[in-house]
Amino acid sequence: MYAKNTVIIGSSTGGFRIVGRIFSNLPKLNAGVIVVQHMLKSVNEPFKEKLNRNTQMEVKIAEDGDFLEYGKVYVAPSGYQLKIVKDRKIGLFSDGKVNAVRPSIDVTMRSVKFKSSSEDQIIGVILTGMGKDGVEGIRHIKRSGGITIAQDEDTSIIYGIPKAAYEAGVVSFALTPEKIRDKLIELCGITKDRY
Amino acid sequence: MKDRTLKGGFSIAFKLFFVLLFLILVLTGTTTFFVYVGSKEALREDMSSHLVDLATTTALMVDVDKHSQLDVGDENTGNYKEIRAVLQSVKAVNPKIDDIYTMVRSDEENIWLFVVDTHESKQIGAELTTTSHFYDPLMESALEHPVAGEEIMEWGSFKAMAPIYNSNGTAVAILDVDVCVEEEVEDFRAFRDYWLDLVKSTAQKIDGDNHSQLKIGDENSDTYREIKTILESVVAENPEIEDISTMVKSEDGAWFYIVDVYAMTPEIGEEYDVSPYPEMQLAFEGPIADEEITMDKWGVWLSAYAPIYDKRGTAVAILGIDMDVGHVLAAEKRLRSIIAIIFLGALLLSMIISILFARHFTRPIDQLKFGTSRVIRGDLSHRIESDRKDEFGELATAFNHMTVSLQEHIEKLKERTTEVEKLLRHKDDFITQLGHDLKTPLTPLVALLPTMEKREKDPELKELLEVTIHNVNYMKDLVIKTLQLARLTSPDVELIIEDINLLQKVNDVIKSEKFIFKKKDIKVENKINGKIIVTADKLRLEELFSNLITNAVKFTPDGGGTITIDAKKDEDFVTISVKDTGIGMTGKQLEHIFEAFYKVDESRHELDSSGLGLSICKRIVEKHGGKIWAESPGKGMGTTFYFTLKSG
Amino acid sequence: MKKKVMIVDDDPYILITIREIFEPEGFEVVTASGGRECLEELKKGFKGVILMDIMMPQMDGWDAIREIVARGYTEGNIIAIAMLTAKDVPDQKMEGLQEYVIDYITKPFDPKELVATVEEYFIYQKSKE
Repeated sequence: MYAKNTVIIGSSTGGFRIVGRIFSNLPKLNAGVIVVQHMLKSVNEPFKEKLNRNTQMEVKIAEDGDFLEYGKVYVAPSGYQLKIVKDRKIGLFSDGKVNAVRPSIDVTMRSVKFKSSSEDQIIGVILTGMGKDGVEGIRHIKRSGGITIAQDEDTSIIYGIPKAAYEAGVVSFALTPEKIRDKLIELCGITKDRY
Repeated sequence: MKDRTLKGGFSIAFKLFFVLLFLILVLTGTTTFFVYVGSKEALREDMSSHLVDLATTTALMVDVDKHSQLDVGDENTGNYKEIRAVLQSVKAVNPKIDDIYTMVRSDEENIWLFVVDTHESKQIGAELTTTSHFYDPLMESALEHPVAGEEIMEWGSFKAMAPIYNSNGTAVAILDVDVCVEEEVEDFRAFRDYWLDLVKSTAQKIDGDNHSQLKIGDENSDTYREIKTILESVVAENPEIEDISTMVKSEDGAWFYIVDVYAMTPEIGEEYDVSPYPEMQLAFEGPIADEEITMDKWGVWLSAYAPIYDKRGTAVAILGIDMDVGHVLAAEKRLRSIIAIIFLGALLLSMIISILFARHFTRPIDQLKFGTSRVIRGDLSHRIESDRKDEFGELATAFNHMTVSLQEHIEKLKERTTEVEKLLRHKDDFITQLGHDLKTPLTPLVALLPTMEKREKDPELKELLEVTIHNVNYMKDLVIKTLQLARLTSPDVELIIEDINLLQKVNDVIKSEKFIFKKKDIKVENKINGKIIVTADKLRLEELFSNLITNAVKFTPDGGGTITIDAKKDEDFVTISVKDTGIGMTGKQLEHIFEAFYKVDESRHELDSSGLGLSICKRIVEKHGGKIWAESPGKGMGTTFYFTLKSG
Repeated sequence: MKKKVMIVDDDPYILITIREIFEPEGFEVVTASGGRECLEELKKGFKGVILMDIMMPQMDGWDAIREIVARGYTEGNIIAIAMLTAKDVPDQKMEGLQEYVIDYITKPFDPKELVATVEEYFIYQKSKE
């Protein structure tokens, strides 16, 4: 079943711990969640496992052709650009690096095309990290009518990308990881299905 | 800059122009007006009195008895001719006089009757002045071909002329016919053609050779009489003819009559309506002259009248003199044009003067304006050049002194600022370096001591290690907070200012600190009005409340207490209060409470305070442009911290 | 196979500290006092988590990472690099290295937290080794 709510979380240096905090005690959201974390391939599995352990959502490494289903978390694998293609499917592309990274948060967020019904919600979250990958993505989501969240300064391991997004004026909320979790629950709601 | 000059210069020039214009015009105007009116008056007065005198004198010269005997038809009587001769002699000595006449009253009111009139045909050599109503510029071309007026002039006058040729074919004179029509002419073309033909044919009848031989005094010659007869016959056939004559033009362009037949001499008893002439009506009472110049078909006149008395002293007739005043009017016209020229000259003059004058004043003002604008833009090197010695020159000098002085001051300030900035940079570098240097030895301490403590089996040593760990942690905290405080004063620290809902923000902080409240059984009341908005940096605000609240908790003893947070909104700012029911403060303590490292209790370990929390709060509040202070009724009676923030 | 941690720092006390913290927890600790030594260890076949200090003489942390990437040690190896540094905020030299650096830990650090974090980088390795 297609998710009415789509959440894209972009994260860079320090994300291992921060995304971990967001997913800690995260119930099964009524949303399809994509996590784009700047990391080496060797960390993909540890990262996925860390998230999966603490949340009721089903976490997996994204594969080409996956449908964006509710209650599920798709982690972008290193070495590919992840885009949401037709019919809410995930596509992995061997395109070049964007902003010197692959996967690039901008690429994923900007691939989102809206909104077939007004009940749909797109939520973009940008977390700790250095540089600017994710700023344009967040801007795109904001401009398309979505909700954008940036991590606050205090808890950001490196307050670079969230700061840039915040100062660009494209951020709806600046929150701590725990509050981000709460916000996602508030916006998407919880599904009754037990995993 | 260019149009600024114009704008400024223009408005003052305008004002000056109008003022000057007004003054000059008023001056010249009144002067010339009075001169004109005065001279006109004088002239006319002069003319009038002269004419009146002449009329009076001439009236006395008339033989009243002979005059009274004249009756209709007596034009050829000796009496008539005698009186006429007398009048004509007066006329002869006064060339401007056009006519002298006598009149008597009739039975009808305002209808008088002519008696003797001196209108007559001109003698050979009489000049036709250009002011005479018989003159027409058309005459100048009459020597070449026949001409006639293009229209019937005022009062029904119409003129036709034709050249008179001698046997060689040269035009030696012109034949001039002056017509006076009383009724409307329906077909002007036909009318004109008729007269053109008439002058042409009549001119042909005259022998040009003979005509050329006529000299002054030849009135009795055969040639004269011959030509006169021709003319008289034309007059007989055409009663509208007022005058028919031959004329020659002299070398200097003046016209002279040769043979003239005047056909409109009034006969004895001819009626004349004097109702338009009030002065005439009064003439029977005494000599009088017209007030106004008369303009009629004979030209422009001034007339004077004198009564003719009989032996008993009764006025029985009037002697009238008409003087041609065309020349006077012409003179008056010239005078008026002179005045007009003077006025225009005054206009031009005032324009020039006011522009020059204004520029004299506005130029330095513009220089000053320009100079000021340059200074505003930051160019202090600009100097106003002025070689004037007046107040403007002084102003320019003052301005230049001012900018030089400003420049010097700013240079000094810049130097100071650069120095200060350099020092601040040094401070920042120092702090970064210090931070690194302090943290480096701390790292192994912080990391290794817990490990050692864990491994240590000896309980005594274990306790010593615990003491060491506690102190090392304290030092770590101190280092971090000191660096934080130092960074707050750095010019590079930016605040991200936004509108924040105070109630919500405080609730957030309370929520995140709720564990410490529970531990000491402290109740927290947030009384802030949900509508209050402040403008501040969100994170610093949280830090601020966090520090104040943890302080309030710290200084409340175990066993419970209440912390009350409230806010009051004034026009531009909000005053927030954090009140506790803790140990309170003495006056002395209140004085020093915000100083860095100041601790109210010497046993710092007990209360585990670095003494930096409140100085951090002070820095934050002051960076936001607010004030922070504390009040306490005394020891044991709690403390309230107040601070102000800009309202949103 | 034992979990390996390499600490790269020019401060010898830090090397001792890390060893004292991690060895009791069952880690094998490899020490390197600079970028050059780190590369040598990698050449020798190190696979595990690298804790890299930034402020080092001769080759700083970022340059060291660039060298590691250039020599292909990040391909297919189990390497997570976390910066261990007294600097609160990374500088511009980090640009381009985001995907190679999984964490940024400031000194002084909490030893328990550090061990727990590093532990997690090893969770669930499909037995390739």
